[in-house]
Amino acid sequence: MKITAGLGSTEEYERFVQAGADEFFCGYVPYGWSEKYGTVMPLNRREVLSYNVQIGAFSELEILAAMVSEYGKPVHLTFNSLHYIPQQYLEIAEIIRKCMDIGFCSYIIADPALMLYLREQKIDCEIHLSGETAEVNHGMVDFFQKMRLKRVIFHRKNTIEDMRSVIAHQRAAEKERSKLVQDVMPEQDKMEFEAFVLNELCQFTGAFCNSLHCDEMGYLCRVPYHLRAVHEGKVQESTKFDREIPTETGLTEADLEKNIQNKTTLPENSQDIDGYFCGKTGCGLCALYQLKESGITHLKLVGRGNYTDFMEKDIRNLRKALDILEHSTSEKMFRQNLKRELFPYECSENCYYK
Amino acid sequence: MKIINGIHMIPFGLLAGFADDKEIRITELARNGFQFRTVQDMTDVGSFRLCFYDDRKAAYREIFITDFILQKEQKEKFYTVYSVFTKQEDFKKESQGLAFRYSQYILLKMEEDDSLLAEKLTGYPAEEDEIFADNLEQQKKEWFQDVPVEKLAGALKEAPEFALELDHPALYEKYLKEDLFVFLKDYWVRNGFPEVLSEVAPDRLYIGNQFCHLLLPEEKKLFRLMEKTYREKCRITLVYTYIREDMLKTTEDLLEKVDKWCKERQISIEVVANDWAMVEMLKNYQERLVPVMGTLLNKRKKDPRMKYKKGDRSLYEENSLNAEFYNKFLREECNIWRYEWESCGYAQKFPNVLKGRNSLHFPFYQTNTSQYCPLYAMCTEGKRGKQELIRMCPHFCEQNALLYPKHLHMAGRYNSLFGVDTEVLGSPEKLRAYVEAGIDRLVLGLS
Repeated sequence: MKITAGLGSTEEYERFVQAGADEFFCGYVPYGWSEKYGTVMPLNRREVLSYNVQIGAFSELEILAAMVSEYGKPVHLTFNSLHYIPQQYLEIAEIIRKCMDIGFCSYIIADPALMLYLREQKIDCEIHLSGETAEVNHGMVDFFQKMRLKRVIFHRKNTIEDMRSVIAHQRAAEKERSKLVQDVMPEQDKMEFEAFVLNELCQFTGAFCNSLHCDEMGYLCRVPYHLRAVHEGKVQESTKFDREIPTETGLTEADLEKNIQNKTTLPENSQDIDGYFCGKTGCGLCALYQLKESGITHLKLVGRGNYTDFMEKDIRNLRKALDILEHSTSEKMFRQNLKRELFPYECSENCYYK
Repeated sequence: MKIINGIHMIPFGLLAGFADDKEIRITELARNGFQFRTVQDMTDVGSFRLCFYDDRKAAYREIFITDFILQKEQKEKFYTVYSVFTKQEDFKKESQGLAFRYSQYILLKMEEDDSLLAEKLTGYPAEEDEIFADNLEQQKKEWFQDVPVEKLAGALKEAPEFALELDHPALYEKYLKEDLFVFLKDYWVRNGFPEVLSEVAPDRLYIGNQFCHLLLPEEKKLFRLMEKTYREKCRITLVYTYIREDMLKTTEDLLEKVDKWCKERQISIEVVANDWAMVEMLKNYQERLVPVMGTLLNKRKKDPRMKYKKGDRSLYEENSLNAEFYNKFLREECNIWRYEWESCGYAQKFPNVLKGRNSLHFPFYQTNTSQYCPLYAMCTEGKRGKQELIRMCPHFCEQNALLYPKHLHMAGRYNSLFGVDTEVLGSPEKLRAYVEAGIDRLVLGLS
């Protein structure tokens, strides 16, 4: 399985290659786009201006292209807003053509209309179906085959069983297409499948998250909330826990959950001197064995705009976990070794896959 | 010459640059100049254009630098660094302004929570984030208390088609137990409206849930619901949500049975698709099962805080369905002619080519959905983030909800968050305006 890491700037490319990343994804938003649409109609899902989460100017893409040429680790560009408005399709096609001219051939796309438009315009780029598109099942993958997909990125709430089933269906279809009894379809013609493995485990599903992400306001899902009864007089009946609204602390459930995300409530021994804690905001490392078994080809390590040092440590840890996987003969052995090597104290328990 | 005390790597979204026509990134910005880097040799530049973002106006201010000294600095492996020195006053002013705003923003992010940050930047009423209703019923009473009932009844009667949503188990049960009129009376009253509204009978029932796969009626109940709806001479829209991989087979089997049921009665029904696999499946039943594009596939920005959003909000009026090439694809390849829209607090333009084939759901609109249930996680683990796939759902959502600050007009129901467009109920003439704008069906969902 290859490591696909988020890239926040060109500076990070060489460092992350040295750390063990196999490929990257990043955003490019030209000034002309930001000027016209600001963060109202963003080009990708990093819907902010005040953070270094995009690669920057076209000149930076040229630098990145030179780096890719030297190191051979490809970069995919994200154009994965959930939808666009009619005038934008032509504009995006022009941007993509320009990027293809300097060697960027693969694009992460969520909007079916954009995929359709690119194919209608005979733009022969690689399309990676974004994890932000919709529910991913084998019927959905079949549906989007007409857009000639190179890769399907599973969303954060696909189970490993889901993935295994979707991939098995696809491999069977490929075999059928190859018209051969033996599975001899060239590797490069096979569809790739990518799964989330580290960081940013969202509470809601990207494809179905339509609320604002912008500089001037926080995420809607982080607005304070309380668990309450629907009807007057009816009291919440909990099952496994004794729920008390912590009114004496003035904290809402949202506050408490933020604290869970905060390193201060995580086991002290598990974070390093800089406050780094592997998988603090989302982790699927202990599922690597099953992910491999299910046929996943690429592992998504999100975190564009995170501290570069932390991302580098994430990549090193993921690489280490993959090395452990390679030398493990069973899932049990893998988990034991992973725990000993990477989580000798505790993990975050923010699990992608349970 | 040297760049003095510059700020490194200001995000490109805040500070963009051009060397003549070439888009460049400013890697350092100081009072006396700036640095940039390129792969190419850049010794011959006529002018620079710098674009400074002003978050107060959500717009850029551009300045041209024509009076400058360009100096080649170090050559790195992949690029060359250049310094540009200028004494232009407009450059100084804009550089200082941006540096100040940027440092203020970082300070706010470091020191304030999201509400206070929003208050400082947009006027968002942070202190109101602490005011909650006691329960959802009370919250709904407040939302719906000022609805002009007569006007609402009038707007519903005048609508080309009026539909009602049956979207969760308690409602399915109730509808099965009572005749339509009694059911409607109870429905309105339970939601804080006078029973006089029950005189407005729906032409159609939406059966099922667009957002949660665990809220679809089980098979037997579904057919009982359809049978009763058919007997009561209401048209039927069967509502599906996303289809998880392990549900594909049972869904297909069920569609076959529904098709058979329709065949026996010589009718066709609509099926709301919120999954691309479902769109594909429905191609096999074109004669009797009419596909409709559901809310989860008809995407747009929706947020109860929209009025605080900076920038040109009129851009929100359209989405991908306003693009003719996409419409054509959906019509010709997917047999989709009808779209489900939501009243979400701002004006929308509905596709002209489909005038008369647009349903509007009101007053609630979905903003966020999770296939794993946040409410279940809250009720069992005490933490909304501790989600996992639910196999056996005890329907905590029948008794519990997530309440949000009153001023936001939103609630967390089952696996989703919803905003409520109180204006569309408070001013029912807005419903008439929707009809004039291309909506031919109003779909009410109050619970």
